[in-house]
Amino acid sequence: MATSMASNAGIKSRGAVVKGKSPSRLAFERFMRNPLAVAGTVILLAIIFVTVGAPLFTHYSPSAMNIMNTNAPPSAAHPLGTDQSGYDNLTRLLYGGRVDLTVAFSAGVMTLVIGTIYGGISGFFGGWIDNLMMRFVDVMLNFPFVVFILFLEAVFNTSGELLLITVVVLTSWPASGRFMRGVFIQLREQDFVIGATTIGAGTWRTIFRHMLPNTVGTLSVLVSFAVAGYVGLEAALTFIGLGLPLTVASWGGMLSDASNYTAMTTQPYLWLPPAIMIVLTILSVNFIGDGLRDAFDPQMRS
Amino acid sequence: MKRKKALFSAAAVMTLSTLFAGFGGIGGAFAATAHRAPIVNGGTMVQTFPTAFGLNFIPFLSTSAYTAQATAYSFDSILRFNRKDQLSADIVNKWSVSPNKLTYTFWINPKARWSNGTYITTADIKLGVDWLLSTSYNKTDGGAYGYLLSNVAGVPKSGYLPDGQTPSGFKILGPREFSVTLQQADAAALPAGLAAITPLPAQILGKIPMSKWKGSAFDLHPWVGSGPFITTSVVPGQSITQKANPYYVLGRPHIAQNVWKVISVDVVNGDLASGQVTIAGIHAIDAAQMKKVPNLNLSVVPTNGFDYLGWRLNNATFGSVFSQVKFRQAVEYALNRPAMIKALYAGYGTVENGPLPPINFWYNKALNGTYAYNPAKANALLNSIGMKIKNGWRTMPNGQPFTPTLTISSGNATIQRQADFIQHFLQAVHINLKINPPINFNTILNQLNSDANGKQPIQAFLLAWSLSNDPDPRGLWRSTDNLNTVTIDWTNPKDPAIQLNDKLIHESHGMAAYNINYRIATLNKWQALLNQQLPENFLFDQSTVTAYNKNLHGVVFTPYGNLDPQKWWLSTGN
Amino acid sequence: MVSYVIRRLLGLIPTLFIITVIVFSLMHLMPGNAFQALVGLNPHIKDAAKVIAQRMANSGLNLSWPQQYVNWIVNLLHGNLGTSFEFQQPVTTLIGTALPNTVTLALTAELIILIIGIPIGVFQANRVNKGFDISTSLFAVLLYSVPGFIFALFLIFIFSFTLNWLPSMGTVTAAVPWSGDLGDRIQHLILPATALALPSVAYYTRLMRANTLQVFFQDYVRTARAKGLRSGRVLFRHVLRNAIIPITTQFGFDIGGLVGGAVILEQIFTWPGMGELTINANLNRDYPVILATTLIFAVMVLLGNLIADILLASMDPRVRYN
Repeated sequence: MATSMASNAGIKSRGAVVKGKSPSRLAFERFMRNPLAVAGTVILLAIIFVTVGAPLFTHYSPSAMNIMNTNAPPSAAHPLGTDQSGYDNLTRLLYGGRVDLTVAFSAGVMTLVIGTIYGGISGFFGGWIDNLMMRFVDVMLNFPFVVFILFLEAVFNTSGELLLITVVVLTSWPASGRFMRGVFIQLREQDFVIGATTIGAGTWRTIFRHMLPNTVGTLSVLVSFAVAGYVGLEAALTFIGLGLPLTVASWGGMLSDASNYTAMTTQPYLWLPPAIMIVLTILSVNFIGDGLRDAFDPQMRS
Repeated sequence: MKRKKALFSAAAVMTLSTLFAGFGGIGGAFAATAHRAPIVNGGTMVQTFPTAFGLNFIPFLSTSAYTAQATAYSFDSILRFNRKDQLSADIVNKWSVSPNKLTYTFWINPKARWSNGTYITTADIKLGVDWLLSTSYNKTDGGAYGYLLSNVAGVPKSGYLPDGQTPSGFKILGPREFSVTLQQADAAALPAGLAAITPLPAQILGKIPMSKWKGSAFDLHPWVGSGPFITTSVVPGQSITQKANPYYVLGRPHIAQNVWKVISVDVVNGDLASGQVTIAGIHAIDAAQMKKVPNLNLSVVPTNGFDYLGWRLNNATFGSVFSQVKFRQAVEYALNRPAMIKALYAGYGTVENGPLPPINFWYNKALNGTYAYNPAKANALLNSIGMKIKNGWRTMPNGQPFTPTLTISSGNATIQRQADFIQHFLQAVHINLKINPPINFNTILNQLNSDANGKQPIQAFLLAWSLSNDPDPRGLWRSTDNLNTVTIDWTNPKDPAIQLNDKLIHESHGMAAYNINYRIATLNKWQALLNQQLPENFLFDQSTVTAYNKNLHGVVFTPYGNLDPQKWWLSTGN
Repeated sequence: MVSYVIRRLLGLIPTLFIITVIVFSLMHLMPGNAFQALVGLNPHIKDAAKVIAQRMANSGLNLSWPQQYVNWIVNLLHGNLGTSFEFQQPVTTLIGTALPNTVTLALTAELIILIIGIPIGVFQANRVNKGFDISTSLFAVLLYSVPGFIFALFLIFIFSFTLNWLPSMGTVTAAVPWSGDLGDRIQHLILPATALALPSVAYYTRLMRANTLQVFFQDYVRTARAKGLRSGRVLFRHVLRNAIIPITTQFGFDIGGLVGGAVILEQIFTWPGMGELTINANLNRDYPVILATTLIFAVMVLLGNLIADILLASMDPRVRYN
């Protein structure tokens, strides 16, 4: 979808290439001509806006319970009803994005930045550096998110946003690091990289100018999947009872609170809104990723 | 502490209920649901466990409450508790007490048989007694029920004898007649101890040394039993299948087959609605929606247990406040418990004002209505002990800030909500209660167990008690009892109230207590004392909400469980 | 090749050692121990502290950590993983029931992923921007946006409760003569394996599509096309071979991921596997089980990675063994 629209755009713009436009400017223009990528950006910005500006849209506080009005169905005062603690669901939905977006952002950045750098170095240099770095990844991969968070919750006797983000940061990069290493090993042996090295391009220049752009496609999938995966894990943690305290609103928490047979079949207003927010966030991250790939991928230009 | 997320913290109540629930087992006299249609024999019913069960099916061996439930279907004890919580006949159908109240004589029902048709004899009873008092059971296997017979004559202080040795207090008087002599007269001895004696098949287990019982073929799959349903197959972690025992002493069950399945609480409602499960407990919050499902009936009964808010009375930081009766009374007045029951359990529950739940036979009705929600009274009580309000929050009488913390166990949303509500109501009377991040249940136990000097971080905590059929207060409430120091810490022997408490508990099971009116009067006095002293803040007794298929008839729903499975029956068609 | 595999296998030993040391230390840093819950609330044990101390001594917990670790290693070399504190059963028995269930589930899920994910990804790339590509891409993103357990609940709702086609729980049907037959087991596998595979199917589809697109633009593919090779031949001989390489890397460590990620599905489908065993052991401080599950998990992840590396090397002749 996005790919070929962008490549069409590329074909059209080829005739209009004017000397003096930098490659990044061209990429930006290509990105802006991709309707799905633009829509993704707009939706993501809108979600961030309502989340950060939540107090503008609701006069309830996300942590003010009303014990006299729990489990209420939707009404004029509470368009999405109230939950078991008497919190207003709409308010929780708006504020809840803060946790999920932070988790998504941390996971995305770690996957993208650390994963690429780590995997790039390991894959590009190979030899004992690669060996050592991959053994460390092996060790890190052995602490899956759920088990790790369980360990840390027990050792530090706490739970909450900070711990959650810490574990996201610690566990999100090794897989992508290992994956990117595979990509770089493959690229290292490709003609254009060998060529670049032969004509005397420096190591970093080779990595950044010649190899990295070739990984954008894979990276966009990795990042959007990491974002999706960790937002899902946030929900899953609450589902097995190891998640955030109830006083902290989160989409994952709302979703898992309503994920039982009765709520799913009879009270869609409990789980549909957070589910839609999660899907929209991940869809838009995905569209943006596709758009970036199409805009930057040098292969597409030719 | 039910439902959802109960995967882990279920351990809390499980441990308690396993330890406390007597093996009263199955009893009852009449069916709860009227049936006009003729009773049909046959069919398969499906019941559920929310998490996996243990794999040791020899009576008393497993620490899993679910395994105990399945075992109770296969092995009857000598006496049972009926729906009114009174002892009645089972394998033993006649018993008498000697005038000095030391010797009990029992007669086995001549019709009592094992599921393979052989008769139950005193040899089987003896094996059951030997097992409960064996070194293997008590020491190696970590048995938790040896105490049931610790008062029998000839049982040493350690509480156990070498494997296969019978205590001198147990005498075989004939193939169907035996007697048990006690060390000391004890009014609770029969209901809280001897009634739980469970005959074991000497024809099978008698041939295996007790040290090899655990993990033996019979332990993993007991193919002979004395209860209504006998195990035919076990799939670890998934299901237990049992078939009707044709020789069951209380009558052959109508239902041919009973299957226990492990089904997550998140899907069990769907299984009920689709008919894949016949009967299961559900969360009270779902009751309104489940009522609308056409093929289901609902039953709501109180439970024989309660939730409470405990305070470490010996806490190094705030113990001086916690240990004041007026503080705890103020807390009791400050909590709007009916509102909490409505929010947490959709109204299915009752407030608890003393150490026994209102449904209990021994409950003191004078406790009804005490501590109605009254924040003004709470404020007055707090003022009276010198806790002044500074910057909106109450201080210690000496003017220091008062910021107690509440510790709760993780993995249970209902407990977290309960804590949030308590915080909300205490803030309304200017008590600045903070809720600690939820911690593992074992960690809570660890902190409570090792808090001799009050320096552990735990200050206030939320736990629950599940009580046994007989309300024997020993073990839990005496100032010298282990559980008291663990969770209540109401132990100061110089406190006249605590002295009175110990004295009343002693009287509740002495010689005089064989007179039921005397025992009622003593237990009433004791409940009134605890109601006034509030060693812990009693909260409420949440009800058990059970959904069952409309084709299931004859279930006797009681606070002590769903009784009389042999009288249940399944109608065909609708 | 053989010497490479042997070297890599030997290389696993130090990694395993480090992992177990870390787990061992973290484990002992966790407050509380298994015996507190077993003993702590029994009203009839007068001196709980003494009983706990006795139990700890019996289990060797009163020794120093290094000593305990050495004991564990020595027992391990004798094939003895110890006895679970919580279940009072040999750990090998517990793992013996849980591991086959988990492996069956994970392998079935992987099979579903490969059978569905790779072809769809390739076809999407081949017909980029056509209706098939757009609709399946959108669906794929939807699949991995929603947490897996939500799908599990929907699958049960549709295929078990409403249509009554498939069982909703367990690995075998209870109380029927055909219990445990191959057909019975396959029936029970379908829903949980599908629920476990769905998000990954989406992931592999996306990866495969991205890789294939990238390969499409490589010179050799254009050359092959220019030579006039049929597009089907180009697709399979030239594109697929190269596009699949990164997937194998992913596939390797996905084996570990699927095992760890199945905890919730195991709970929903009553599938007694390693996930629930691990979590419960951690919560109950069941040290022997924690160590054993970690070890098995580590071996699976490391072997998965090793297989991925070997596949990578054997499929792409340009990658040298190092």
